[in-house]
Amino acid sequence: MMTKTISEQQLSAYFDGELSPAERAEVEQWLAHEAADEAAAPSAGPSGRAVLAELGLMRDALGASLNAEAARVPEARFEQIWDEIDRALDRDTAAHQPATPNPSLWARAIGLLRPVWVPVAATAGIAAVLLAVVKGGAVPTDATGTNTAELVASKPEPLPPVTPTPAVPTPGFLAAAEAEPSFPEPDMREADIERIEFSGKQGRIGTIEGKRGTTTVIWVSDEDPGTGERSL
Amino acid sequence: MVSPEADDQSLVAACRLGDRQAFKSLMQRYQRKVYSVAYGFLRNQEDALDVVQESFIKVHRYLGNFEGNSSFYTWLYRIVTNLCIDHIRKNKRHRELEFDDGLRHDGEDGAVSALPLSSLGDPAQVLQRREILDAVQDGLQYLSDKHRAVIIMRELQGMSYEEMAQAMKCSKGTIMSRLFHARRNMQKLLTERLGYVPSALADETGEDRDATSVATPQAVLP
Repeated sequence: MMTKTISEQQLSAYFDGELSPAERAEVEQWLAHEAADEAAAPSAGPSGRAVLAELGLMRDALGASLNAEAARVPEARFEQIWDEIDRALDRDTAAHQPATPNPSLWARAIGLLRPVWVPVAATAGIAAVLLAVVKGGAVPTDATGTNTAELVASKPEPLPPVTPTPAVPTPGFLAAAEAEPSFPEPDMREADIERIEFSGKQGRIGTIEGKRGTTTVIWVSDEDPGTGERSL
Repeated sequence: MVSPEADDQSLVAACRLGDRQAFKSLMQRYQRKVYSVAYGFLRNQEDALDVVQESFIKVHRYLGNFEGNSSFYTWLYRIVTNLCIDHIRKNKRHRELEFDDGLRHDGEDGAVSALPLSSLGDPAQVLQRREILDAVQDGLQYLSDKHRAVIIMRELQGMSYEEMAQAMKCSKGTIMSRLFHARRNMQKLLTERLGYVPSALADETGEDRDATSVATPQAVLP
């Protein structure tokens, strides 16, 4: 029979392997002593070894009981759980995808200015065309009736022999302009353009009278001018 | 692609590289064990399955933090334990029941006067008997949440007192005492439950049992 020298709580901790080496030795000594006493005179109560055996059996029974409970769960139920987990992992993965890097300051500036610089560039192109037309007077046409920038620009013809002046060399194009005054000088005030076409785009030119004088306004649009316009 | 039969370390390594199938293999290896633990804590099938699901999601999420100092299943069981304890605490708030030893504390410190399982005969056969396993589950049902938790952590998960103390945020001494009382209560519950079993079993199985080896509740309970 167990005495007060070893408490059941100590025996429980001994069973769990949670005693210090000294305490463990003490319990083992007590168990050996108790076994000898039991052999001489059996006690009415359970021995220390019987208590330990019961603890071991209870542990095994607990494991067996809960394993049996787990075995009752159909495999399909775990498959459902896996599907849920799979979806959750997909969400996790999507949440951890690296975010699109912030555009640089330049990119943002360009983006902000896009509504402005596109029409500006288009206008600059138109202005260049107009300048060439105005400067050149009537636009010469080829046999097919089309006009091209190549045709607008006058090709330099072979220059007449000029006495070289070594002190001031004349640039080629100036020399050509001077040598070929074939078109009359246009008067800008005479130009009256109401509609333009440029690179497949359409637009209109108008004027607004204000306190500071007349402002020329050019509309250029990618879309049908009837439905959308951009103004400069 | 790593084989589903590969060891835990290899599967964990594959999971870290994004191998979803390796993770599924790990889950299939431990899902029922995790369920056993969760069911032991929570005593409800759907709650236990919820914990299984949540546990593996957490495992996957924090796999990068698993250093491999302990085995994978030890780490997994810690996650399961924490989730179960959280679940009990949350439910406690809803149910307004106490997650406390005092709820069903035995209040005695005397010696054990009966060994309900040992008295049923051959231990190997005891573990095969359905009614005994059911009695163990019933016993768990009637333990307090804390007593049930320490029993599951110790008996099913093999956690040390130190680990249990960390999980339950208390001292090792408290765990030692709590576990002792939990076992005593479990023994009493089993004695009550199994005290009537042998005669019925004798009828069913035809076993010739020694009546003196079986304690009746009246005889063994104080």
